[in-house]
Amino acid sequence: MSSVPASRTHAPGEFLHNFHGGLKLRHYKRMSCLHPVTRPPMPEHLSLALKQHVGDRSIALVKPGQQVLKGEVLARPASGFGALLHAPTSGRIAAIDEQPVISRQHPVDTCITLIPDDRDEWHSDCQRMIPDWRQMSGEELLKRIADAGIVGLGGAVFPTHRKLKGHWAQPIKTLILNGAECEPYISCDEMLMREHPEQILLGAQIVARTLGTVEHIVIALEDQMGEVEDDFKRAQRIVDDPRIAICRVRKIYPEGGERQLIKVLTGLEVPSGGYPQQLGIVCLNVGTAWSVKRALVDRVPLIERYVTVTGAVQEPRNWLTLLGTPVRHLIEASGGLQPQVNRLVMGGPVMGMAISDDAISVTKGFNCLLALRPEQLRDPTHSMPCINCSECVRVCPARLMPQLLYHSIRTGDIRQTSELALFDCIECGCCDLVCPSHIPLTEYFRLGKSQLRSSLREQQRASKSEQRHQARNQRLEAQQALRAERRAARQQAAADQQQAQQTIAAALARVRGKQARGSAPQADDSEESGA
Amino acid sequence: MKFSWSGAPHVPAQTSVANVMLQVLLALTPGVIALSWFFGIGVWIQLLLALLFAYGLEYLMLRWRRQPVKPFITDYSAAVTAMLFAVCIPPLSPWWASLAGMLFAIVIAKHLFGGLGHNRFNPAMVGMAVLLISFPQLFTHWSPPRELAEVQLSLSQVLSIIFTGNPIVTGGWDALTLATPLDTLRTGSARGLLVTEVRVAPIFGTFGGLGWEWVANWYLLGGLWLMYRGIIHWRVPVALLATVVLLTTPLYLFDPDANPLPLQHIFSGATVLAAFFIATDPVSGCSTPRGQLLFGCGVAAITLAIRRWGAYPDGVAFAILIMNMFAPLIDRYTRPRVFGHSE
Repeated sequence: MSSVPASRTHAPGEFLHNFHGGLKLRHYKRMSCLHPVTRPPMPEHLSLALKQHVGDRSIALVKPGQQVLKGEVLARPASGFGALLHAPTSGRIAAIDEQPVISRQHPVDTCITLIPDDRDEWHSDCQRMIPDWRQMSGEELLKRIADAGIVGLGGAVFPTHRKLKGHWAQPIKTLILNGAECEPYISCDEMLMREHPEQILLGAQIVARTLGTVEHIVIALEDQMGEVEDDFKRAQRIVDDPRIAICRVRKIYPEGGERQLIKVLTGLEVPSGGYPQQLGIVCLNVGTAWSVKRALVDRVPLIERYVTVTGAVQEPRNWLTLLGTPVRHLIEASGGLQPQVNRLVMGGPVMGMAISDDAISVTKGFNCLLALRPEQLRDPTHSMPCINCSECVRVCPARLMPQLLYHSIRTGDIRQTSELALFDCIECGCCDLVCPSHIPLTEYFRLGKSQLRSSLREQQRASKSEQRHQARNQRLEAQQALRAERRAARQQAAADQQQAQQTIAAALARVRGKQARGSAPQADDSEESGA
Repeated sequence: MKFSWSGAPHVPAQTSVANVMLQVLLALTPGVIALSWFFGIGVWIQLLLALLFAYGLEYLMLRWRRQPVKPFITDYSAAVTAMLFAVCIPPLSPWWASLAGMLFAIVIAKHLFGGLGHNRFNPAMVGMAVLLISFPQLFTHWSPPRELAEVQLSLSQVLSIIFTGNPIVTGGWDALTLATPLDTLRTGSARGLLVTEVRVAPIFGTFGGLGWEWVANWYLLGGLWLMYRGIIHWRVPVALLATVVLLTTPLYLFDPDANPLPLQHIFSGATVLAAFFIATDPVSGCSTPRGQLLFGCGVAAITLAIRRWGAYPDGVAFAILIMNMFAPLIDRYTRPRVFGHSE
């Protein structure tokens, strides 16, 4: 089975391991790889979502009406965690308001609308000479990567400088460049690798220098990307770095998932809830490496990316697209939609996010625009009961029990859901594709995760308030104890005093008695009653 | 322009319940044809009766439970139940045997437990078990394979036997039926005969029962095809058959006079049918990889135990039902290690 222990004698990528499950899916990639990648015509306006990264919300640094230059910083994260946003071209800020964006939770978000002035004039920051990256320290490189607003372009949009920074128990010895674009239809990484293999390798070298301790740079390609491998081999000769290895992995969806790819190349499993860095590995998308090279060598911040426009469009192809370009504009540039298209997807057909409005714009994580006709879509309203066929168990790359998870989510059994490790679900959708009962399992799992999160929050709140309650009880008890102690002390003091008085009185009486025995005994009585 | 919204994945699943069930029916067909070749037209009549009662009861239950009729009637699951039941009962059984079997299979084991996907027990085997316990004499009325048949029955004769319950030929049931190989073996060893002596009886074939072994071969072929199509997986059948061989081979080698050849166990009774078509029932079986292995082993072991020590010649139905009881427990303790978790 797939849990072969990692052999220490093999370098990463030298020996390929298997991961559990997965599916062989048809490709549909060739159709969008027929044209060389060019830029679409400049759109009439760009709509830039403030937040295009994982992390904190961003604040706009520009005001409506302001003129901006290409490469000028438009927004920065409110705190340190996030990525800068730069102007993709020069022009005027028309508005900063709520616009539709691609997000499950917030269908609208703050966007900056930029009207291009067609001069495409660079900001001075992007024209200043910078030293050669080979002369820069890791710190300096990191700062420049952060300044360029680079995030993971594979879809996770995690700020790259954050990924490369940090202190881990193990030194980062392996850098994996993920070019295994496993989902059908998407070809932006493949086109990028075909066109700029040398720049990608250069970017990888820069990242390796940032990390400092890298011994292996593995470029992971899919099995059928023979041509791309040749391109990389040629580029490798020019770059001439003995650390670089090019590796083709078996084409089984989702082998391009970070955890699956690491397993395939090294035999190691990233711990549940942990990070690849714990294993001494950093995994970057090839597009991210390319952006690093552009930032550190060409002084271009992240303002454009490769985007595949494919599926039921007239001319499927890849575009080098400015951030903020409306989806509608990309469709028009690709010859328009085929008739009857009723679904637009950002990403692929299995994991992609549906776009309900074509006014939505390209963001940093936007890899593919896929148009689907009604007959290509699943009918989410019609499903049969689960027949426990365990096909989902067979294909789950996380080795979960999807059918049991489905039952526990449906019955609201939160404990069972978390025991079955729902949070380890990577939402790859394999289970959906093999389910004979057509149950929307992945949708259930997304629902279950949000339920689980809110129940965890609830638990935390409950345990906090219980702590508070206990603290209060303890405080009250302590107070009561203190009060009792004081009362006891007071009583003791009173008793002592009384005793002292009695002693004094007795002493006085004795004295008086002695005196009275000497003089008049009745005076003693009157003295006693007066006391 | 606005577009439709839905969560991923956007593309449809590659198969359906009806498709799965239909392929199981197809895979069973060669075995059924072989069965009718050896044991006569009665096999088809039993099949038709079972299908008729199964669908009638399925329809009534769906209406009664206020379930949508069309998707459930067209999922072929009732047909699979009926077919598995029909090939297990003697071809000349009276009509009410099917009715009683389907009543327990479809109404009680399936719908009263919640319908498709909710039955804790394999419906066809529940029907079988009820008949085995309540009307054991029914199962002594197995027809002989065609080579040994004394009387060739016409269609009208078969129909009349099934619907009246009278053995209309001279000689009565004795002329129409013959003890099955497993029965012969049982009674033989009960009389103190050696296996080799018993096996001289004409009912035995090369390694299983005469005729039976060929039916089993066709079931095997259908089962392998299902495996090739990915409808069933290797674990249950392989574990089941391997356990039969592993448990019986040492006994046979130790004392071949008292213990039949391992192949005899596989190719007689319902072993092959159970391995590929009954123990692989997903709803009432195990879903973890290790659980499926255990399930197969358990069915084999219990079947052999019943054949050896039990009161019934073949114990497949009971073995399946007993393992059905354990399936959730087995699944609970054989969950695979989740990716990235330590053992």
